[in-house]
Amino acid sequence: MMVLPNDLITEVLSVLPVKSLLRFKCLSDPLNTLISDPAFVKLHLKRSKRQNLLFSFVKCHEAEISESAIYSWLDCNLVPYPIPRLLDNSSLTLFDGVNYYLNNKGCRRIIGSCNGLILLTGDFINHKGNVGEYRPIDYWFCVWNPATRRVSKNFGHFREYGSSSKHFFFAFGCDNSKDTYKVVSCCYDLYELTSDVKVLSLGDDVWRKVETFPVVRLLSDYVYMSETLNWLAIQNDDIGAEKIVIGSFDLRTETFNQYLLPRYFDEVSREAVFGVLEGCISFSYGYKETHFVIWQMKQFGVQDSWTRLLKVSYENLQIGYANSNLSSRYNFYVMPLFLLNDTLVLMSRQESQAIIYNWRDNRVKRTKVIAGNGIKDTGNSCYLSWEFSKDFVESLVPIF
Amino acid sequence: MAEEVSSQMNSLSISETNPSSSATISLVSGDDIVFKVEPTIAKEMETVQSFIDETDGKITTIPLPNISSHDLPYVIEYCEKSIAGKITKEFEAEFVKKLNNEEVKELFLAANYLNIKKLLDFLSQVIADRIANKSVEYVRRYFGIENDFTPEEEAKLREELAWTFTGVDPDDEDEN
Repeated sequence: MMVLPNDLITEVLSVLPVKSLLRFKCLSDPLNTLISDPAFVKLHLKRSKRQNLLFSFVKCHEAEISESAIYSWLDCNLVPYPIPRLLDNSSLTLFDGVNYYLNNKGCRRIIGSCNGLILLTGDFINHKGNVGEYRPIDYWFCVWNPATRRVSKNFGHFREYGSSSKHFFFAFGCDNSKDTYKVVSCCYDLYELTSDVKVLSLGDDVWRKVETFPVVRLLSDYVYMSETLNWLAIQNDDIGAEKIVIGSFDLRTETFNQYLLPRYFDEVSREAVFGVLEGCISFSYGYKETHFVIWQMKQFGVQDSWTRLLKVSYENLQIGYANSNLSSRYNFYVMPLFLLNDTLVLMSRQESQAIIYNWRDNRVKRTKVIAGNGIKDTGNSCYLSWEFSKDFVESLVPIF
Repeated sequence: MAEEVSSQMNSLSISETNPSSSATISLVSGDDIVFKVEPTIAKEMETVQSFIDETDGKITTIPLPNISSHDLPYVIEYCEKSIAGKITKEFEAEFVKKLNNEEVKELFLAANYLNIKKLLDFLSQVIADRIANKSVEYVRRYFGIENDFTPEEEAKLREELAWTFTGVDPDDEDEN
């Protein structure tokens, strides 16, 4: 048999799934070392992002109820699925991976993922420790790599006196130049009109207060892009008028920037969506109840690079906008999930499925994704949470 | 410089054609079979093209001692499709269907030697797909990797990674 030189073996290994690679650590001592080497981990991650994009469905299950935790009635299960397979064959039933439940990791909510690591958070209302009318809430975090099945210890504990005016936004990203993963906590106080921002570098377990964050009220989930964390935020201008901007936190310098949205969005309805499409910040909204418009910021941070990617009618997407009562208006929510070449995949809340839209030939089809019964199921209902389902990549990145 | 090259290549006939003409390039396999290809094909093969460039296009017969006449037509076919912009999933699926595991490996080495990035990337994915669910023993044989663990070390590692040993294909599917 022909023997391959080492650099070609490395090439092949760099495109293997994580589970295979971990098994192949048993091939030989040098390959065991190679597969754990930070340079190889980076190479593998780069290839995974290019060739092995996954979509991680979030399945929610009713779980046993405990009084102390805020999110106790649900347990979530992450089901990663290859994006090309979803596009080719959009009818599928999702079954649970036994190691992909959140509750047994001591955390219940997914904050977000970065380079194959997922940040989870847990919380606990301490009924005994009331101070005045406020109940203390404990928060903590853990990091999980579903592909290698590694879970960190809980870290970043803090206690907050739960006032209903305080809103927490957590976010997770990486400063690639230093290979440092950071958790950011933004707490905005609606009454006091103050914001409190702190940062924790993984491995440190110390929250550092960030002084430079101006008072902005965050409106959206965060988006990680080019080593920055970004939110839609409300900014009061000099004459006190409110303006929606992008609030951006640079993980390298730990400083705050803000960017303007596309100029022409006066007629935005309230369903504006902030996200990432094909590696660019995107901003989408319904237009005059007839169309859906998507903008991309082609060059991050450059106002002039806002480009309208698409304006498509609801008719073309085969979405009915007929009902005008309140509940159906709430359910009328369209969110771009991802973009692959000519194909845009959008989530439609009223259908609880995704719309696969090819804009080149204007073809539309629907996914038929069924949340199959889980291993843990006790007859309780389970459902798919499209809003928390995100694209995802498998990696060998170690838990710190 | 030109003298150096010609002295290295003394076993070859050097065709003194006009460098700017689009004369066909002759690729000579390790078993001395000549394949005539268009210059655009040669361009896909970085090793061949840089050889042509270094000799100002004077040399159009290129010996490829590491590549057999069995493998070279596959390489040429892939390059032709690539130039025509006709590399589709269907073509790639058909292309590898014809190749057994040893042949894929040989072509992979050829693509590496000729420095054809697209073919190299494609074949590394093909090999990865073929070994992804294979056993450690199978992959050791396939790559020619020597197991240098002590039995204790290997047993310990296998125990730590026991969950990665589920769903592995049986080795007897080996076609070689």
